[in-house]
Amino acid sequence: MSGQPLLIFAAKAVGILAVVLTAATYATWAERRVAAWIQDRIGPNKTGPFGLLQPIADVLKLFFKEEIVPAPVDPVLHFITPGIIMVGVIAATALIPFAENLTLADPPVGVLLLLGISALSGYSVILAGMASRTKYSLFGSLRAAAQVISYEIPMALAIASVVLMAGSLSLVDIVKAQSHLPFAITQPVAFIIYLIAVFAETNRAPFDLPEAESELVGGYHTEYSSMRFAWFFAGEYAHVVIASALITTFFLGGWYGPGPDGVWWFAIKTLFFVYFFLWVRWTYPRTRYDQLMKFAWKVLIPLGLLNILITALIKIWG
Amino acid sequence: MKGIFALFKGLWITLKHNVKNVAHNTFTVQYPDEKRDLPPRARWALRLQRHEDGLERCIACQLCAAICPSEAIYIEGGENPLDNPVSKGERYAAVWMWDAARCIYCGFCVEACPDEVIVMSDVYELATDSREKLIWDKDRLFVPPGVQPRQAWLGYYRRAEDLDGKPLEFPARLHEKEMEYARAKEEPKKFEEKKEFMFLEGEYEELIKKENRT
Ligand code: SF4
Ligand code: SF4
Repeated sequence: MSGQPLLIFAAKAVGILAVVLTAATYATWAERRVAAWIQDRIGPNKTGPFGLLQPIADVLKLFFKEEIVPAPVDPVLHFITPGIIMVGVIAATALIPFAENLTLADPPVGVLLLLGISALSGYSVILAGMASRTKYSLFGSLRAAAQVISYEIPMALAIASVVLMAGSLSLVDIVKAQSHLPFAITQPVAFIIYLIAVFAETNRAPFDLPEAESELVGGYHTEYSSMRFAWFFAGEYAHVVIASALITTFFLGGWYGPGPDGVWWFAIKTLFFVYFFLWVRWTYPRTRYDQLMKFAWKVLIPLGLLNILITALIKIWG
Repeated sequence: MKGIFALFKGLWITLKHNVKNVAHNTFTVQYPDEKRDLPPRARWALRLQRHEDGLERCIACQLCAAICPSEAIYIEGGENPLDNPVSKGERYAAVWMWDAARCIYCGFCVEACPDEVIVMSDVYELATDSREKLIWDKDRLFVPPGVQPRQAWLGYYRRAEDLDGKPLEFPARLHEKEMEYARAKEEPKKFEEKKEFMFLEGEYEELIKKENRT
């Protein structure tokens, strides 16, 4: 907050939230268009120019749909879980340094806070399955529980080597440490580990096992309909946008870029990674569950540990 | 190592398709705006024909109703008034009803009809919001006087030149279209064009090469 007047701070907060949520909404449109293009189709192009009003039509449709709450669910949990995923995503927005002077909060332990918050969205997925009390949902959340825990470790390891390089847990300082060279170049292994782990963290293909439509109907959100489903859906896409923003922050030097620095560099990099998420989803098939776990524990985590060790040694002697 | 290379190759292929389709999509027919040409022997909604002078061709012989396997046709014959004839025979169809929902579009009625009354048209947008509207009555079935349906299927064993007397105008057009269709089939060039839809440039040739090797 650093002593800004409250009004300006509030305006910034609302503005950033609006931009992030709009981006998340339009990520659904982008997902459908990109999927269509990759599969030699056209995609939604009738609602407004280039189908740009499609997300609005979708939201309206979801609003007016009948809300079906199955009899055996736990009513309280079933009601609050769609909210939790959004709370996690929105809270993470506050920590992201969009530009030099465009950060809502820069706590000295920003990275730790972020890891905590991102674990929260995992909770919502796990609780959703438990609250639904049906087998498909439960299987979805079982998978989510194992997957989120397994992939949080390599993710944290990758971030740890970034923190070692920057010498700070503050996100702004981490970006500032990349003013000359982004960490994607100086820490390529950590970058790749993070990139892979983040797909598992956001439950996106090829690691979308918690919602694997072909085996689990809809996974953890099978029993959700209407707006409650929409929250999960929006949460997933908001998560994709936030995750892209975090990749930009940790590894691509945030607002720094060739030419004039500024928020546009941040936007361009983030949008590229949003596209990357969609691109990967429509390229690779879903992995098998044992492959997923094996990959985390036998490849990513040892590699991450080794990377930290080497980074630390270079830091000491280099 | 090979696996990692394959990952990037996969991304490259999807990216190529993405870029190609942003620029130009070759597959999709934007249905309500664009419509595909139907093949000349497409068999959709029944249409009933008139003579050139506007009289109805149907003589209410009931052969079509008799052969129809799903009983989709209902006809009531009437005595043809001599002073104001409706058809050219002794009888005419006072009621001619066809149920688009029961019809299986087999075309038997077209074959059975002795007077080239029934043809199958290319009208395939038959969906409505009630079952009653799926039952077509005489007004809807008979083409208006002086009008020819855009496309008409006359049965497997009839051709324009087989018609006795003066051939109707539409079968001649149909015949032309059929010949065009047959020619297109013989010309391998058309298939060359089709190939482009399925594969990216060069991919097809490579596939053939590979198949020849194994
Ligand atoms: S096409 Fe077949 S099912 Fe349809 S009306 Fe004619 S004979 Fe009956
Ligand atoms: S077979 Fe032909 S002539 Fe006979 S009733 Fe049917 S449509 Fe009329």
